[in-house]
Amino acid sequence: MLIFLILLPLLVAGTIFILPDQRSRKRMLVFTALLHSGCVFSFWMFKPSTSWNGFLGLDALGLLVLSVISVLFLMVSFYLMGYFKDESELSRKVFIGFLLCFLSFMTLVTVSRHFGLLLIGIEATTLSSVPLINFVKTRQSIEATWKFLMICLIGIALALLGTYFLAVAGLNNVQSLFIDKLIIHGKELTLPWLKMSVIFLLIGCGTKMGLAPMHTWLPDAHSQAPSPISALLSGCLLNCAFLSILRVAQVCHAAGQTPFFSSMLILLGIISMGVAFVFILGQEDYKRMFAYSSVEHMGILAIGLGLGPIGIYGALLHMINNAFTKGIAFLVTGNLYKQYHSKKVSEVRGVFFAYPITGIFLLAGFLAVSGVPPFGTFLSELIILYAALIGHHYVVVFFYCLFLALIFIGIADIILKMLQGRPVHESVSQGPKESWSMVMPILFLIVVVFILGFYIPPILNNVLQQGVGLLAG
Amino acid sequence: MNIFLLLHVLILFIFPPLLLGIIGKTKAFFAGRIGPPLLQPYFDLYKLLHKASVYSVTTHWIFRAAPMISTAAILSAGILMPIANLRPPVQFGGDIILFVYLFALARFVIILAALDTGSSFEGMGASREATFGAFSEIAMFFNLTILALLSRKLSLSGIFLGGLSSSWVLVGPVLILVVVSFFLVLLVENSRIPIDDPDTHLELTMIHEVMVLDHSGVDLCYILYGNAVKLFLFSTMLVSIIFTFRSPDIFLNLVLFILEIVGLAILIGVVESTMARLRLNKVPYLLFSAFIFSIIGFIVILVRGH
Amino acid sequence: MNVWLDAALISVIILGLFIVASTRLATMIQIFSVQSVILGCVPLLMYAKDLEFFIIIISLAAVVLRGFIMPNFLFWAIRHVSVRSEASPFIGLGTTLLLSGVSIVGSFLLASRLVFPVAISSDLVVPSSFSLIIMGFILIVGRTKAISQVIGYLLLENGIFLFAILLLKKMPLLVEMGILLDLFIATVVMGIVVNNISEEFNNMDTVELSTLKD
Repeated sequence: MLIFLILLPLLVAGTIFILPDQRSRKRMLVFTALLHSGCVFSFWMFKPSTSWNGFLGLDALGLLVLSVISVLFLMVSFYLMGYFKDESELSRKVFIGFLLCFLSFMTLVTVSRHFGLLLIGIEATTLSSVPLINFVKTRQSIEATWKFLMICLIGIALALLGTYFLAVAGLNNVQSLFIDKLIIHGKELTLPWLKMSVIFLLIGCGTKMGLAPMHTWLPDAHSQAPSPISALLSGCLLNCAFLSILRVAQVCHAAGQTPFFSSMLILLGIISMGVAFVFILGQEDYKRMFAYSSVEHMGILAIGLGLGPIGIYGALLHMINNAFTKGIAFLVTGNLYKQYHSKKVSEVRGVFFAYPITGIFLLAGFLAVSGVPPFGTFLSELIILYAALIGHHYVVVFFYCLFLALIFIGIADIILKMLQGRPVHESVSQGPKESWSMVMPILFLIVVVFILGFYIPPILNNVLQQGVGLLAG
Repeated sequence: MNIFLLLHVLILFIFPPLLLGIIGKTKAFFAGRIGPPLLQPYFDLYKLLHKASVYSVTTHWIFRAAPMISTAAILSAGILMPIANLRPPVQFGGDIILFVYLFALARFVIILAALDTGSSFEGMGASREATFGAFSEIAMFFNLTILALLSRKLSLSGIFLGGLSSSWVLVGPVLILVVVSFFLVLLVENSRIPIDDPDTHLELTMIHEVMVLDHSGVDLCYILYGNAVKLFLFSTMLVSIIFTFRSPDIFLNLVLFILEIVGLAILIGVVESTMARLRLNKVPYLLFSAFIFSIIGFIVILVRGH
Repeated sequence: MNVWLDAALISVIILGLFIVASTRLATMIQIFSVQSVILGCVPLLMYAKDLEFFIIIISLAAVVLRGFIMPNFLFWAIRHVSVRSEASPFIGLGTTLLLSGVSIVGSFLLASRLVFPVAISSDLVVPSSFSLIIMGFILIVGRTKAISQVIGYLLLENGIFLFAILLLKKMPLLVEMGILLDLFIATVVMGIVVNNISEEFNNMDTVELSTLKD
């Protein structure tokens, strides 16, 4: 069952590369996405068995990330039907093919029960996302692609070294890199090697996740890639990297090294939020602004992960909220780019006047990204704050609230200026109105994040609790 | 015992200029010439002994004393070094340090004499020589440290008279590093290509030659002779590291030794003929790599716990 | 204390130093290819007592992939772009050599602190792998040409591979082959992007790649 889930997008990608017919490509994309989501939905009812010799398996954490990926991918594939109405043909073949490979490898990451396989999956997602970012070959997108490639490959190489250190730590006892076995024999792992492995894995996977100071690829890649791809990168790829850090946290907890790991996580989280704040103020490119907001939210995830069971619950909930919120944000920027043909904030004015629907979406996206009630991000950030308070981490509380407030001010300044007034060029407001496919996905995501703001379904709560149980015992 | 001491001193005093002749012949062979006769350096020294020295009016006693001090220092270093498995006349624990510093003393007084002339050319050569000397000394010290660690003795005779007998088998790669590093140091200290060209006549490209530009007659004879002995001593050291086999028969040892030294001289001649001079600002990098080789060997020895 | 293994590891470190110290791209690729061949023989030397079939396969794969296919691909890339040497690196030669020397010493120090749980045939493996990794980093950070950065990344991967050889008996074949394959694909992708860079910018200076800034 799990192998089928991974192989299906690959097979469809293969057929797309081979078949010359172009009309059916988008439909095949949406069809595959629907099939994928259907399978994942069934996993919520019936847990699938481990397959392929125990290399693949689904636990609560994997299920959460997989569902997020699947839903977001489905929405993006709907969006792409309208976004691509006027692009050239050949690049679309490469684009959709690699998009499906991307989905397949991300699925592999979520269901992998072996550290080595996990890393192979992450490296494969990096490689398959390069043509997606490099879709429009301008000078700046090539620069962004090169930075993305170099920094992420180095990060994964470091993570690989960390994995080898982990194998050495378990050389006398476990002699395996299966996550389950590592957790069972956690206490026996050799300590210095385990600590070094945790450090390297944190740096390596933190690079992919976008934690500062390894985040430098993130703003460039997200701003230069086409908007639906930015949504996928922010919502899915960063979460895959977060999943690998969750796996490291599992092993750490089993070995009793949680304080060591948590302190590093909280430090990186606060630095990420600080860096995001510095670069959001006065940002001239609205996609870069949202990219730095991704860095900030990854920082919040890291802080939550380091704050004990309640914090972990908040972090897992925030992961879901953030993914959908970023979907909203970047898909809206897609709309904006189509309408205003510019990425600069100074050239986008009067969105409410010219395109009211996009304006409302942009406002909703801004509120959700900044963590304003009643959107879901407010609830998850509040839970993390609560965890920090009852854990007496007052310094963390101080910086957390400070940066959240400052970032809110920064984003509000930019977005509100964009929303109000009149467009600079008159021709802008005469442009085509948004098509259905560019409206419905965003609306769906907004509704989901809105509902999650005050109601967490029991089934979701159940899986979240299981996830916390896996990480904090 | 006394015969062997005499033999040691005789070889030290008489053999070195022959090395220069061998190198000259090798270079001539590569250039397709017949070249000067093998004993030409002896004839040159003899000729210089009969010439009068000319002294510039700007020089003082340093200029007159320097050639003598430097040659004396180099020869004193020679009596510390075992040659062809013959015990040297003077040996004590720690004489490797004295060995290196005697060469440093020789270089020091020559530099002083060059500065004493007040000419900018000699000053330029002196500064270059001082720089390269500083780098090469570090590499040499590390090499000697490695050898001392391996043989557990701090005197030259202790190291080279049997201290390294099992080292090639145990730590071969380290000794290869030492040999390569030491060969580079040899090239630097004796002003050979690729660091310096002993035959060049362009003052701007000289290092060692320009320092001794003003010496003439007997002084020049001393300096040339001192250079030959220095080259001989460095070659002896290198050869003793490479070939640690020594038989109890004195005659066989002597023959082997002479063959090895001649082989090394031919190798130096080959290196000189096939390579071009390095640009002056690249020489520190060459020396730095010599230093790195010896450092790596040193660390490996430390890690092994020998 | 296998003498041949020691010689191979020391020569690997020294060749790594040569790569870092060199500025001509062709020289760097050639030395890298020699180093990879030697590195590919290390598993054979290390497990000479109890050779198994898959160790031979991995050695062969490493030698062929890293020692021949990848350097050939890199040569194609530099021919395509006609870049010959690194004219103005960020870190000059002296600083590079100094940093490399410090890194080698540091690796040995660090490795002496870390006790390996199982007895290994040579105590030079861990330090040399660490030094290769740091030297790869020095190349990536200190050079402007994109190809130099790719070579630095490959050097980094060589160091990681050297460390992985220690675990060859216990870790399954899957991951090893996966790493080699990923490396190959990564190089191909990087080469393609490098070509894109060169076509768009007319040279391969990553200094030009600095328009996206805040």
